[in-house]
Amino acid sequence: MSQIITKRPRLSRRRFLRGATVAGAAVRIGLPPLASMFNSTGTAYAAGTTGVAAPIESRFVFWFNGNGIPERYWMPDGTGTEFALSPCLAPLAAFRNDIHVLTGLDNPVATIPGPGNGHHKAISGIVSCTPFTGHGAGGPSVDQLIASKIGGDSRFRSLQIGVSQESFGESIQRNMSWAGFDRPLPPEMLPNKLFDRLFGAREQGWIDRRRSILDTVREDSLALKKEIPKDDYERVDEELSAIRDMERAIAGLPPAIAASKPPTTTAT
Amino acid sequence: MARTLPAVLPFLLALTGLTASAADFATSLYPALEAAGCRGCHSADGVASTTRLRFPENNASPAQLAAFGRSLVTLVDTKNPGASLLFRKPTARLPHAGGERIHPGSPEEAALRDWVAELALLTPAEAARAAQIADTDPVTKAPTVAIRRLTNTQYNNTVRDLLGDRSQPASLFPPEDFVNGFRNQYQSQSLSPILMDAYGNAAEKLARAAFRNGLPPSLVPCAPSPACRARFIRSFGLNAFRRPLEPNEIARYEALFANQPTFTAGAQIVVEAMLQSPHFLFRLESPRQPKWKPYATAARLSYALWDTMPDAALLAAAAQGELNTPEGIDKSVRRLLQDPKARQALDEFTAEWLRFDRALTATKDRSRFREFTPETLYAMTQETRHFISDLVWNDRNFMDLYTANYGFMNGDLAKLYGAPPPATDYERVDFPPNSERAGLLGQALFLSLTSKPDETSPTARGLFVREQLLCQHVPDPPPGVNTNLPEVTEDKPKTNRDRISEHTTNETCARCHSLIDPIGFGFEKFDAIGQRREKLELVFRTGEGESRRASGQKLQIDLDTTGKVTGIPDSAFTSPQQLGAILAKNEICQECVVKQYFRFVAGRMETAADRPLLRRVTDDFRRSNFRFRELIMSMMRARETAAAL
Repeated sequence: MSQIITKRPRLSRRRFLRGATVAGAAVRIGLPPLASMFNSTGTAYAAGTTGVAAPIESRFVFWFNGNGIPERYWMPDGTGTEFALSPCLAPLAAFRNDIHVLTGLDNPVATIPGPGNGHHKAISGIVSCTPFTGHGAGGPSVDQLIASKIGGDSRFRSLQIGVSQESFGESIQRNMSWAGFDRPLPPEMLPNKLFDRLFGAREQGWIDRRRSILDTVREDSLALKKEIPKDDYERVDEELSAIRDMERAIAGLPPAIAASKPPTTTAT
Repeated sequence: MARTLPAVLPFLLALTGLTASAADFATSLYPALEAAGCRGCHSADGVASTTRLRFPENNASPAQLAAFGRSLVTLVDTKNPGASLLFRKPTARLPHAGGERIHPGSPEEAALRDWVAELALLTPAEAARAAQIADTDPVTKAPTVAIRRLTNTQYNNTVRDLLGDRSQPASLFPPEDFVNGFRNQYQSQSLSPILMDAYGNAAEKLARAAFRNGLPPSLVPCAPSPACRARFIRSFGLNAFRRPLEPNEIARYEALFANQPTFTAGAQIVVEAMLQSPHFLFRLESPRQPKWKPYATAARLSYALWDTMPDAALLAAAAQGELNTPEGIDKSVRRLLQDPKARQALDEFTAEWLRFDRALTATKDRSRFREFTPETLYAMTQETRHFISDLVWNDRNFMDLYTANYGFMNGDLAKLYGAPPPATDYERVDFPPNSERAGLLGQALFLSLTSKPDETSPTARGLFVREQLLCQHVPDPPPGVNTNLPEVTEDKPKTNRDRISEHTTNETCARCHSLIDPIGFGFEKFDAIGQRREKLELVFRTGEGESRRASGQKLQIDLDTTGKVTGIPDSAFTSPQQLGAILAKNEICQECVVKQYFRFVAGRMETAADRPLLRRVTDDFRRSNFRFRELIMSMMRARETAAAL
């Protein structure tokens, strides 16, 4: 509980939507929760002034920062509940009592003899607790395990976003999220594409059209399964599951937003 | 039958007197051999492939482990066990390129000594039987690659040929990872939600663009009518799915079409859907339905030789059964190789094999290499592309790759090489006499993509020769080692050779680096962008970051460029030219060209089961005096023969 958050200007979701309108564009969007739209107990402000706060969905964020960090700016002084926030953690002072900082972790799976150099083994170990396969992580990454528990109702079960994906073109050094053994989930690297994916305009006609295409493609995928050995079902199943994800992404606009009229440029 | 085996097995082992020790091998010596990393080099594609040990697979049964243990008898001197190679090599009592892997006096050494003593007790007949497994490869079937996804390049090429669209939408798809040295490997072709999303968006844009100006006659060659609708679905489907559509597929796409308000909208939605269908995105390499097999052959040939979809003539050849005979396949391969698209596909092979991507994304220290620009890096890739293209399509001896005394230069490169400027860009120009450059190894591309921004890396150069040119896998550094080289200071000026010799004085590092670094030392007279240098010039700077300035202190040190390729006899050399002559004649290096092309075409790593195929193709390649076109013909023939089995 903190002072800072209750002092924020209160902004209802609807008001934010009006504010976000771009000149001439029809915007129908599912917005990520913003800090100013929460009250101090972490529940979201409902639209208008009815005052009924709905609990928000749990989120899990896994962030990887390559090339290391200067420890003196990050690592807090002290242990247990008695620690002083470091300069880089200071902006999180409001959540001081809700934060755990874990340092000095090690994962022995990265030192098991096997293929790969220190980079390969460490990344496979840190994301999945499984040894590097020679190509990728040996199993699903932790974000995917969590997504399979809490992501069921979300429009996007999980999102992968990146800003830099270099490292000699090797899969294990470019992908932090893994669906399973040797199955990377590459990040979206282009901000405009990410924006379109999250907030792109979705007319009902477009949704219906896309859905009928996906139905046809799904039939093709099921038929393809009959042509290939069982060992390769996984590849087609990936397509089928990607189709399901796409259907959910296009159809799952939050009802409140789907029902609202597109904001106009005059409403500010 | 299988159920009685466990009861029988101990009895058989008891007969050979190995019951207890066989178990010992699996629990004591075997883990020690794995920990020592013998498998890393003594494997089929390892640095020590000529003294290969047939290590069992990861999921080997106890019986297989025991058999492997006994097979080591070929390295045992039965009369004098202490003199056995099995004992003396890993303990470095005899010179061992891999260094001391088992420490004298350790418990592992004791286990090794015991096992050698056990094996020395085998009767000659038992030893002969045990040795047999060392010489026979496990009978394995080549892995079947059932479905392959279009690569991003193939996607771009395919929509170009299918729709006449040159917008290259796949250039914005998630980038592909290099596996086994290439970007088209079956193992790496998963289909993530983000890629499916990208396919959906690309299909929407491509279909919209195709019908922007109404019905294009190239796609819809008839006036709108129900008959025309069916005709369009069949003809476009044949090209998109690279085989005739099934009746239920036609019905499915007809229904999709019919739901749209206009003929144009109907045709557009069919195109959009087919571009997202797995029958478009994937190609079946070995379909179950016999009627689809000739079409699978057509697609296999066109994606291997053109990196794009089959054209009408190739689909017609499939329909007429021409691809069911080796002669028919030869005829089509010959035709495909004459098309300019074949050059484009070969360029893709070259660019991936020789890692153009690393050159194109490299950065170089601008304060040291003032005239160097990103365009120079691009010119380096162009030179190598022209060079290889010339070797292949003018039917030269492909092993000139390592010996050619010329390059294909533009003005920048000529300047860098000290050669006369060419009249037009990328013309063939001889390297200056006494430059000691030859072929690929003398070209700026190789020399700079294996260097750091400011200095050369003999290690990276050696590794490139091992992995890309000899197809030998060098084990990765063990976890937790410090891979930083000592700093060079004004008090302690050092050549790269001296700095790197840290690798060879440290026992752990020396095991592998003695196989890599000495190759790189032979290139030290060529700097980080491939310029010739007679001495190493060290420039010392003061300050930090942006304010770093050259203090004016410069030191010139002599360079020792003696190098060697451990494992290749008489391979001492002092220049790229000398190493090139060694590699061009070397059989491992010659076979490696075939292996790399196999990996690119098959989309996977070769296995023991592919060895006969590789041997046949290598023989054909050699017999043709190393004409790459013959390699391609032979590879296609061999692969289709294997696919027909």
